[in-house]
Amino acid sequence: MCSILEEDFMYEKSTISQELCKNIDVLCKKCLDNIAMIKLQKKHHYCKDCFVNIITHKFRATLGKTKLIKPDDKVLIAFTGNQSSITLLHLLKLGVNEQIHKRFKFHPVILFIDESIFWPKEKRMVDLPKIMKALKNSGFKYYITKLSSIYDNYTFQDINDVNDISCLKENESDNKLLSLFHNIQSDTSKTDFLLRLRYQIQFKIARILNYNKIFTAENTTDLSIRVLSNISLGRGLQVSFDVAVCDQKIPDIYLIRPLREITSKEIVFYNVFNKIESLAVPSIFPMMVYNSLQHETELFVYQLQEEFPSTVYSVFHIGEKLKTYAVKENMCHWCHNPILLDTSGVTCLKESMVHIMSKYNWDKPDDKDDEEITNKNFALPSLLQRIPGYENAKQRDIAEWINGEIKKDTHCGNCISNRMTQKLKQSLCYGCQHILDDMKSLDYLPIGILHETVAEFQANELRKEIEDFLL
Amino acid sequence: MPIQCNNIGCKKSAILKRPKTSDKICKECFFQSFETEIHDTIVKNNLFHPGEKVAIAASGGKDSTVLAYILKLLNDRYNYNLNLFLLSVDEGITGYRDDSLETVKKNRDDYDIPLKILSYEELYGWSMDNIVKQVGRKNNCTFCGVFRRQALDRGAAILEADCLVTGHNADDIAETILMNILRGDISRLSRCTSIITMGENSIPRCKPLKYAYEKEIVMYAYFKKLHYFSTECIYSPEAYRGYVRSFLKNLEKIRPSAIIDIIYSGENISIRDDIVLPNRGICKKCGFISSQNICKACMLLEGLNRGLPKLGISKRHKRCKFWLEQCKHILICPQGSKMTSLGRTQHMIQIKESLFNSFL
Repeated sequence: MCSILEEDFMYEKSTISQELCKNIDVLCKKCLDNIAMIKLQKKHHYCKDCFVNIITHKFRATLGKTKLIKPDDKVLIAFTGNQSSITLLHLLKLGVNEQIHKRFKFHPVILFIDESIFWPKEKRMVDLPKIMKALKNSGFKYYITKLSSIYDNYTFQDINDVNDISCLKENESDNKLLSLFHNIQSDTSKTDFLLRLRYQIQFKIARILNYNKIFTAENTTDLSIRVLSNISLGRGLQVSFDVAVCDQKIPDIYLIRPLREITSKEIVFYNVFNKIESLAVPSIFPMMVYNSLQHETELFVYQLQEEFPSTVYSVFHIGEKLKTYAVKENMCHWCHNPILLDTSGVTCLKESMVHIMSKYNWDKPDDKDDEEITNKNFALPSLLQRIPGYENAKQRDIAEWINGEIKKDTHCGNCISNRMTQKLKQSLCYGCQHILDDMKSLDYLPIGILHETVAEFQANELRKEIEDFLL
Repeated sequence: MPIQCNNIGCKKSAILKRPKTSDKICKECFFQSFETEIHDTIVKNNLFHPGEKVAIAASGGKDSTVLAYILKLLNDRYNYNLNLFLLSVDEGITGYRDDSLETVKKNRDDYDIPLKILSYEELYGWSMDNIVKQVGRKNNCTFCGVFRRQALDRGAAILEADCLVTGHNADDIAETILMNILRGDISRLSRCTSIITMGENSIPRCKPLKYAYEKEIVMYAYFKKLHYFSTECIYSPEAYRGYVRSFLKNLEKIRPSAIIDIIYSGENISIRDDIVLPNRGICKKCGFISSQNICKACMLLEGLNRGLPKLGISKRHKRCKFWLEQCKHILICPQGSKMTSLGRTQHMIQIKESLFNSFL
């Protein structure tokens, strides 16, 4: 069994040729006619044509089962440049050019989000033009934007005008984004935050362009890794959202995963058989993430998959069997997943841990770590000022609130900002709280993310005031 | 320069970094927080009620030694008013269990808790050494695990205990959660995190060390100078669990809170309503808890006694095949060779069940 990592295509070729030789005189399981070219899951032999048919069928079946795609729908295809997204483009292209009775009747439009600020410079020079070529050759209309656009207020025209990567110049937002990631102290949180940020941008751009359906190119292997790493990040509640065919965390946008039944190995074979050129884009940003839970999980799954080929499927199906919560009121403001307000188990434990420490822990000795913590806390008020509209109505409320807090608590200066961070924390889910804990400073947080938090916080405060009069 | 203990009020210098929180604290503060956390776990989850008889499953290893010590300590300190017993199972593994039982006996004397030892030999008529001679080294852990689970239930029944406590720690629970996900075992996944498990007429089991890190347990035993037995079982450990264990250790190295986070995820997982889970009932033969008509322990034992040790461990369809061959002479297939494979399997299952009923 070969383990195929998306990163190195050279390695793939050697393993594939090994595997091809081994099965030279076995017949294809499906047509019982041709000699099998590949072996899947250590036991299923297929010839080239049958295999390609199976993959195409899986893709069409997944889409069909959702029953969401209507004729003349406009669908945004999130293209990243990795193997799976190239396969997705190829499959869509085939579907659009099919005979009339099988033809896809919806209109795919590509969205490419440029993450190259995390790549080394040489790679950027070589790979970006390749991606541009792939986009131009795909035959679909495409939009390009940058990861740092989360900071910018784009209009439809702004996005529409960009039709080449060279139009995207480095700007202030790029630096902000780099500083934001620089402020996150652990690789785990960086990776996790990047994932959430990608979704945010996809949603944002889809709204601007007025699309309500997005296709992403996540395959079974990716999703099973996601399930396991989410479990170890404390995001167990969200697992079912992450593998669903249609992820509807946000009410107005459907996130659809048409490749979810195809493993990464099948994708590589599909690309090889169809002679699709790989762009060798790193799946996540390369240099920084090797010390992360997600990377560790990825290695673990690939390693286990070699010996037990059903691993990926078992994990993936566990994700399918879990309940999807539809809590509308308590949503995490970063990842749009439900927050569970429970009083059992771990939550209790955390409380008691804090409790034990605080018995002794009135003041912390001055060392470097604590200085950083203090800075982080004080960053919040300055952050609030950056929110549009803050100067007007909201300013008075928040200022009053802060003053009130100061009066209540003259014990130490830290406590006020501490409570502010605490409030922000309450609006996040368990997993996102970890990201917040790992941030040195909140200075570069995109305003969009914060805006909702503050708005909700305001609403809650108001509600508290009138609570006694509500029936 | 020595680092001062992070807990102010305590002027001592810190000598350890807590694996769970990375706080640098002194020995006394560590004891204090470790014990209080377990006390909180017990109180908040209502594990015990005053006057109860509690059997502590003791293997002589670090977890059960620390558990016995700490329950005794908390019982005295917070007046739980519990009646504690040690309960040990002698699997009959020479060179492993006989040595660890010595440790349990020493615990009995040190902490002044009465001890009851049950052996596989007297419960089932088979010691593990004999079982290994029969089945070989490959699947023997299945026998040991299944028999021990039931032996503890039986022991607790003999002692007339109200509750059985086991020394499962946070690492064990997190490992089990990951294992069940990797195996796709949804029903076990949903119940492996509960701190207290109760059947209809079985004794409740609970895990007071559920949130205690393995590293902290070792640390506690080390600083308290508790005697425990730390040799691996001489029959090989489960290979698959080994992968998961090293994965979990790697995760812990990257982010110490990962273990607690996995437990948090496990606790919050809930299964879709339309998925049917197997019912947990009672074994028709021995009356102990089981998810099948006949429990795994009876099945394994039947296999051993009939000289067919593969009976309980091989897969269901293989078992059916085996039965089919055993009783070819009494087999009359109604549709002859025209049966579909599904029909054949169902027919085989019917035969198997009727055969089993005739054994009862």
